[in-house]
Amino acid sequence: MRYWKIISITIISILAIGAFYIQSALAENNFPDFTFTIKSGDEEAVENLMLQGSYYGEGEKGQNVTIQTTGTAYSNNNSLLDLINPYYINPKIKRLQKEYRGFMRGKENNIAPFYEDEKLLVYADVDWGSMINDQDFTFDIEVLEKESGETEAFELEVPEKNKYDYIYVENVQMADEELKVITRQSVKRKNQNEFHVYRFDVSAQKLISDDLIASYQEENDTGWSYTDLISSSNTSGEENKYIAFVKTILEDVQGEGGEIYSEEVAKELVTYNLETKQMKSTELPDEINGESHNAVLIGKMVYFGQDSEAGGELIAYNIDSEEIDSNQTIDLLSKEQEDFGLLMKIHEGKMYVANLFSDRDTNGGIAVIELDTGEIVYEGFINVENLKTAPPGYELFLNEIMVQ
Amino acid sequence: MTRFLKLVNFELGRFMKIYLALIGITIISQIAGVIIKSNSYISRANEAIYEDLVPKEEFFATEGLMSVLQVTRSLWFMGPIALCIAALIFYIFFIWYRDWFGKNTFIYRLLMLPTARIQIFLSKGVSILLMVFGFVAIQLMLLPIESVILKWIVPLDYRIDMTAGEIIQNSYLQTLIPSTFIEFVLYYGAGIMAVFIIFTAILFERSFRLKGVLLGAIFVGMTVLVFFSPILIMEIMQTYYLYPIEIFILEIILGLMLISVSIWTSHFLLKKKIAV
Repeated sequence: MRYWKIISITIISILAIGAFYIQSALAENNFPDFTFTIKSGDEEAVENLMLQGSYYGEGEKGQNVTIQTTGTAYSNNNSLLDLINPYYINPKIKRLQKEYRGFMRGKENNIAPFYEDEKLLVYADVDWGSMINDQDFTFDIEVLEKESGETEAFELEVPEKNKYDYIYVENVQMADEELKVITRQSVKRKNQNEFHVYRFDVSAQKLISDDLIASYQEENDTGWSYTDLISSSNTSGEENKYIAFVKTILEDVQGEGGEIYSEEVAKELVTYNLETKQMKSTELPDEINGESHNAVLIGKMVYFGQDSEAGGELIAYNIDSEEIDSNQTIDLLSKEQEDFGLLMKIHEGKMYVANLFSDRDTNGGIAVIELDTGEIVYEGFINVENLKTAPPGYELFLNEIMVQ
Repeated sequence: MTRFLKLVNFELGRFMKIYLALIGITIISQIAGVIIKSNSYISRANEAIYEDLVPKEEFFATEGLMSVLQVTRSLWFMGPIALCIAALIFYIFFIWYRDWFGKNTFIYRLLMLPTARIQIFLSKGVSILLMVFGFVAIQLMLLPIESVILKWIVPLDYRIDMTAGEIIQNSYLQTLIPSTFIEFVLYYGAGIMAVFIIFTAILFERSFRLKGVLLGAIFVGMTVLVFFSPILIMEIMQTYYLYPIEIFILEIILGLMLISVSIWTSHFLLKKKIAV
């Protein structure tokens, strides 16, 4: 035959490559489907819940997984298509991109610099300058009036900008034309982090004030301390009156062998009143272990999520009365997993808690708690739907709870 | 059309002996790799469990279970793949220069053919592409065979069976064989673009000799700059103005545009400037 070379290579290629992709499209689901198995409460509470994490089959490398009531989706880390439609985009950012595509253009996947209410969508971030001229810090402020669709945008230099190595916006608040931007920044050559509140008059496009409210690390004669910001949720619609920090105080202790090490002696809750500009420090009760990454500030309440002997615990602490308002224990959040801990998220007045880790022997628990009442509205487990689809040694690590 | 097919068939024929030899080396080396790695795993397991009396679980915990993945990480497996890639990269250049420096300046006869000269260019491109796909196909057919051989040697308790897809996703093969067909088209589409651009640079050199080397280098540099311009501009300005989907579409348009520019430039060079 005259063209045997071209014909044979073409046929072999089409058959082998075609068969491979048809087969992989059909057998797409090599990975197990996860479901939420309800133990008590109302199934509706987890309808909009979206868990993200990594799934490890036996001897396989991790796959990104997204678990929802509607199904389980896997995505490959370095797939090109994931770059186009990233699975990790925050659902709130996704919604904003859909509704205000023009306004959201060029803004990163980070909700911290956004503030939203019924009338306004505000964006206030610190721009770090270009690659050629970096650390040229400027405030980049844009206010979208939702009804008219009009955007007011202006840029202002950060005062004393040459002092800092980096500046992150942690939170944005807006009330009565006054914009408050809460930032964390590091001071050059001093290994020192600071928290600032910048106030702006939006209509005059002017900076009103720059207040240093806390330093991350402080040293004294007996030891040192560090301060972490408690993230605040402004989904409740009302403006937050406070900014809150957990300050961990450590003391230098001499060990038996003469070596000196630091020992944690106390945890303080430091609050800053945005209206009166007053700071207040109170020691946290012993029941609260004070891990700032598992705490959320809403209004005058700080909610601490933590592991305890009995399971997962949610403690509501009132800043005004300086007392614990309620203490809720969820025993299904298995305590065998102390090493891995809990993951939590507050969304629209509800707290979502889940075990970080699941495998065949220990199914991770999920719980949803109404913050106002402390009532547990949902309790359940993360289960593999069909056990045959998962190898016995599978592991599931969650890294994010999202609510759509 | 039949003339074009004839040209492609002819180009394939000229490399066929080496091509088949490369396929042979790949098959032999990879299968030998499976046999050697499996046997050495089994003998290590026997030594540990029956002579040193290490508990089975402990052995698995340190060594892991045997699978084709252990082979894919070895030189037996990756070596021939690297060799094939190197051979094809070499052939991207050789496919042109052999026509000038071969026994009887073959390019004369090619350029004398009563077909459009761009067909010479395209037939060489298609040949390279077909040979690449041929290698990919051979690898895809080899994976299940290697799994079967591993099953013959390693007992059930000591191994994890994997499908071709699982093996690919967990090894370096992932870069050559992406997990979805769309990505396959995109990856190899970008590959065709690169081959065409290099071809054009070669034709610059063949047309203007020493000066052409510079022109070719400038051409390649410009295409790289144009192709990555959306990303470069955004990185330099540090403003990510476009949404990912928009960059993606823009890149596809730029890629298609560069392929056309490359073909058109080559067409011009072959017709007007080429020196024999």
